[in-house]
Amino acid sequence: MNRETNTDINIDSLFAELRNTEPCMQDQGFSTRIIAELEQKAELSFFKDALITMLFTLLGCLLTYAFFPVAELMALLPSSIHINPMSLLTLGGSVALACCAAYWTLDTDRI
Amino acid sequence: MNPTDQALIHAVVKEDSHRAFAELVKRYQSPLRYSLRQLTGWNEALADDLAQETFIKAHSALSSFQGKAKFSSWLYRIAYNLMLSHFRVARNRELTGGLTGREEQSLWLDNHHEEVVSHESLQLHRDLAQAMNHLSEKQRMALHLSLHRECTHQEISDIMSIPLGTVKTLITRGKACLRERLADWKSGDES
Repeated sequence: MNRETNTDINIDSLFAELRNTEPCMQDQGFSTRIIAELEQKAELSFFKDALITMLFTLLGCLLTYAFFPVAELMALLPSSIHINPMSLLTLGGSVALACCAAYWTLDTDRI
Repeated sequence: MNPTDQALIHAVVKEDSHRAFAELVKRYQSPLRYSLRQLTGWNEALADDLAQETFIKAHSALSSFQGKAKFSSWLYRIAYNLMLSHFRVARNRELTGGLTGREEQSLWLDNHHEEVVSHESLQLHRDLAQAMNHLSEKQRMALHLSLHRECTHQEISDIMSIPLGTVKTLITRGKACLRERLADWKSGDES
């Protein structure tokens, strides 16, 4: 170091000189590199997200297939159904109510 | 008119605007890269890597920036933590037989000798960075933030997450160590 130094060197004035002569670093593609890396990361995380979702969906399907008691549930289904006029009326009324509700919801744009 | 930092941060958080983040990087890259050079013994490659990592980390954590402190202070906090963790890893590698920090630096200086010679005007900055390299990381950071960036003790305490008293001690001891280093250099030049 060719600067005049001694044990009583004034550190504050040395730093003041550094402050005044601080070079301005040119960007020279620095910010572009960072943005490129961020974009690459974003793409990666999208594929990672999709992959994780697919893997868990597959796992869910396999577990369901293996453990879901399909046969037992099928056995619970009735083998014959008797329809009387009252149940037909109830079904018709329910369908009409559901249609009205759907129409009213769409009409008032509440979805 | 240039948008404020706050407006740019808002655009990044709410709209995920890369253009706004690029503008923030352009604003702060020069002082951050310079500071990291000062803190790594003027190792340009390492300083730029740390700066790049700092900005990437800042991008992912930007939603947590509450605007209580200056954006630059927040960046310095991230950079400081990254620098500490880098040196911790380097020390561990040193223990397990890898290149030591000093060897790595001298290797880098050998590789970049031409560049060093061609930038005479930066000599003072390099010399001081190399003198500072003999201080502890905490002393270096405290001294740099206090004397170069003119941060208050409270700001330094917030950036480094240490008590005010420790900041004062680090600065006083750092100055004393730096004086010794510079005196050694002087006597080295004379001999």
